[in-house]
Amino acid sequence: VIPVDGAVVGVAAHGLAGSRVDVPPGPLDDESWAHLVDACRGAQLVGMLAATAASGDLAVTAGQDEELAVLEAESAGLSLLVEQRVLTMCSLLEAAGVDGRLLDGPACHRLAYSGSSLRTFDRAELLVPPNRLEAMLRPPAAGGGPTPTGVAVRRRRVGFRASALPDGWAGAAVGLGELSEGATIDVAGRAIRALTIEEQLVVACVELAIDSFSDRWLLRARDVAELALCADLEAGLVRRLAERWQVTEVAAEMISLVWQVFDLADKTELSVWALRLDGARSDPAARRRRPPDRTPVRTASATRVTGWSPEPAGTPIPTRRYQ
Amino acid sequence: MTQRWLRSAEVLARPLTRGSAVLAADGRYAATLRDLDDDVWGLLTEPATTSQLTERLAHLRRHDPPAEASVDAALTRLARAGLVREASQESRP
Repeated sequence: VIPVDGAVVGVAAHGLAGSRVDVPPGPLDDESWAHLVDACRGAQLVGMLAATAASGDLAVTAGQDEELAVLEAESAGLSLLVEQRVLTMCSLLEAAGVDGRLLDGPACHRLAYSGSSLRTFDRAELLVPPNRLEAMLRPPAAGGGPTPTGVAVRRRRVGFRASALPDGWAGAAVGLGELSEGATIDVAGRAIRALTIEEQLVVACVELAIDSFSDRWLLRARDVAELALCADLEAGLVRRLAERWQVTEVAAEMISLVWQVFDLADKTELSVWALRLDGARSDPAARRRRPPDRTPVRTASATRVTGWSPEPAGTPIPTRRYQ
Repeated sequence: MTQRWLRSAEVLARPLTRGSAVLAADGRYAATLRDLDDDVWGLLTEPATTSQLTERLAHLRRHDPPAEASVDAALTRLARAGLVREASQESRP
């Protein structure tokens, strides 16, 4: 019997090349189904749940199938709404002559998932120059100016930030000047600038570290896995970027984590690097040498959700986030 | 005169496990396309006439090939929603 929490990991692994994680055959009883649906909604995994059921890997009843069709359409509709907001914001930035890059949801959806139905999102972020950030977040002028507040921007599903690395990351800031020309993605026939696959992967690793205690950690983990398995990825470039942005440890640890959580069979240049580096760091002697403020997130959330633990029994799970 | 149809460029779309979710970029129309409407939408990444679409759909839906009138009705629905547009009104050989 696979517990429902294990089933969530199975859903998050659905269609991931080389993953040996399974879902229960189903159909689940009402209580287990409700639990799984709630978990997938909270984790933004509804697209993957629908695909798991559609493939027949998880058998569902007629009622469950109907519920899933509604949830999938709702989740896809919200993703489209986010893209619509992105288009509007990009038009405003362009009109103002402001350079920017699309991060997160829609960018990851196209770069890593080839625009499939699997990856849904309910928000996006745009990277803008620091001197423009304040203007983007400034409250509207009296009388109702068009510039939204930071809160309003988030309510409208699009946020702004001045560093490619996410809020909550206390390491080096990575502004537009640190990035390449980036990739171009197509949104409704319009070319939008986004990060390259390598840049997006490094950012996704830090996002996973930051979100490792949130409901969305599995989505973040899947993003890291998808990006790391992209055929066009240049592993050497990822390592150099991680080093330049001072996040080598985090990148290696998170790539190592997703390889273990999703039980990925394929070894890649990047996974070998990550597992070797992370393994060396996990060595007790290396742990003692490490500065105390760099305690890794490790996999507290993985253990919480799946019961999976890479450490021998009795090894304390760190409870501190990267800061 | 042969009418050829094409997807409107200003439409956001996502595939679903069954069908497609669409949203006009100006936000005036949102829908979930299923069955024949979705199949017609799926083929209109390139311009096509009603008869060309009917022919292609007959291959796609061998067990349930649509009549040309049904394809025409689907195109009318999609056009009214602003999801497809006429690509050209020139005669084609």
